[in-house]
Amino acid sequence: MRRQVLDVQDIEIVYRTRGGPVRAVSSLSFSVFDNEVFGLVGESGSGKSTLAMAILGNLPDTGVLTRGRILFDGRELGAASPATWRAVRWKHLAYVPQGAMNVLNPLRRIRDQFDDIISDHGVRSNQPDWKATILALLKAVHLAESVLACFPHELSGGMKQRVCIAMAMLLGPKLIIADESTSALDVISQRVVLQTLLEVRARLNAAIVLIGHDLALQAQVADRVGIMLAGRFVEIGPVTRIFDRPLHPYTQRLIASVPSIRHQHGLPDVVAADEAERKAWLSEDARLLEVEPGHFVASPSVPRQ
Amino acid sequence: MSGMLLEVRAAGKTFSRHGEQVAAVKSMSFSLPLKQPRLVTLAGESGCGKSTLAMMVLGFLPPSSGQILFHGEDIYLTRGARLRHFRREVQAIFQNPFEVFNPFYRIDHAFDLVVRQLGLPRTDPETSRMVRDALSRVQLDPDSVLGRYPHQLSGGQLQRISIARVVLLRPEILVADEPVSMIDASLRLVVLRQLVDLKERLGISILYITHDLSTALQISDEVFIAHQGSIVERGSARAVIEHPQHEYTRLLVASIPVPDPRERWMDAIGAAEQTP
Repeated sequence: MRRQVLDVQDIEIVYRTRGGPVRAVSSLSFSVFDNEVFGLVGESGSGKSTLAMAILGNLPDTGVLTRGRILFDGRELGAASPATWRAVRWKHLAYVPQGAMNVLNPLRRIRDQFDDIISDHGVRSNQPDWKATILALLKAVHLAESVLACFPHELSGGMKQRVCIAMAMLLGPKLIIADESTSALDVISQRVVLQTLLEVRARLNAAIVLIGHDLALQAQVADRVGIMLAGRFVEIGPVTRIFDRPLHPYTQRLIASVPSIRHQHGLPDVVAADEAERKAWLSEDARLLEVEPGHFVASPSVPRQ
Repeated sequence: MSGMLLEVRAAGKTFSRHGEQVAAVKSMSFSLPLKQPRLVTLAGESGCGKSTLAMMVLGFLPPSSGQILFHGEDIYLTRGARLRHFRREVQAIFQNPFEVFNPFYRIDHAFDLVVRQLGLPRTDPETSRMVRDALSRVQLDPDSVLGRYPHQLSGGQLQRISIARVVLLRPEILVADEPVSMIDASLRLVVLRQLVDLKERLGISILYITHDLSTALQISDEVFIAHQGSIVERGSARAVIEHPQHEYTRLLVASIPVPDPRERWMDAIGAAEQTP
């Protein structure tokens, strides 16, 4: 039996704005198991980053979880004290955002920044086994030991992003949230960084929530994929089912419009959704129906038997 | 006269950094023919020199070596009316549409500039009809964008407004530097289709600059692969992607994610440890 690392149960997140409350996430449920990559796909404004922040217990002050529960390793952390959250983040929950490399302190050497994480979490950094752990991690992200003596500006974007992955892995997290963590990199670095992430996942038996808009990338690395639209899922399923037999018209359009180097010259013949169709999608019941084992879709899109 | 619309002749650009000379573009050459609109892609990774080349072609950055010729004339030696003609005939669209529009002005202002450039009366009903037609052509509802400020519109809407300006100006050349990389997937196709439309219906030659070979394959007639400041391979998009000759092109093509879970990256690349 696989262990459920993350269990999101019917949550709703509302932002308080000057114009009144705005619902960013509604009736959203999903879970992620250990050693699994769950691909979370959505366009700008779909609520995917809000969802990530809620999982990390890091919603801005204006954002409120108004319904539902988020269980991490069987524990609900929602109401936990800031101190508990702090202990959980980094140690059990790692976060690698798009600009992760920009969080590196430009004035400190990489080595010192590793030490900061260790001492911040109440462990002594001068023990020789930490040194070995850090070196093993650097090796895992395909970086040489000499990186430790460098300042961030001496490294390329892809190298900095991999340093951040190594840092995120340092305390052996159970769940890694990667939010567009390779979008700013060029394709070759992107491939190296993703492969690194997958290797590290296997070593730690960790779960990864890979948030991104690039479906081609999800096809390469995800085990299951969830498609978000306007704050909820329209479809969740095993990656091969989502690509072979997408059921929701929104998913179908997204997949049909992904450019591929395997296609012929010319643009695919996909008709953009019109207003009426988008409206219909938005008024769908946010609860999903299971149409085949593990494949869920918003109810109006369920094929008639 | 060279008989070419645009000729990039061994153009190079060297910047000085901490007293050291760094060649962003070593030497690149290619041309666009007259009276035969083409969509050519300059593809490569960040730092390959592709955006530096775009700036040189647009007349914003004089090359350190070589020449950029427009209708056979070196654009950096052109002055006065000829220079104004060049500025009008070579237009650009950039990656981040939010950086292009002045946030203090309504969208209408962006069209006022075009109208002035075209020498049309500003408050004429005919002028306003032309602007609205151009917006409709890029599938925008004129009433939902005119009168708005840039921050009230999405990136996809702003990018299409840039294209609507190109529709009005009808330049001979459009330089499009990563025009879709910041746009959501469902709108990306719409914008790419409009680029093809500019070439096919309005006869505008396009220099498409991107890191994304899969969109290059969809729309371009010819692809140039840039690497470390040089063009290392050129040919039809299909030939370059299916039979890459240069080692770098092979690595680039192999790294492009294929949207098919059955065709996954088999072997790790770049597994060698990287030293700073």
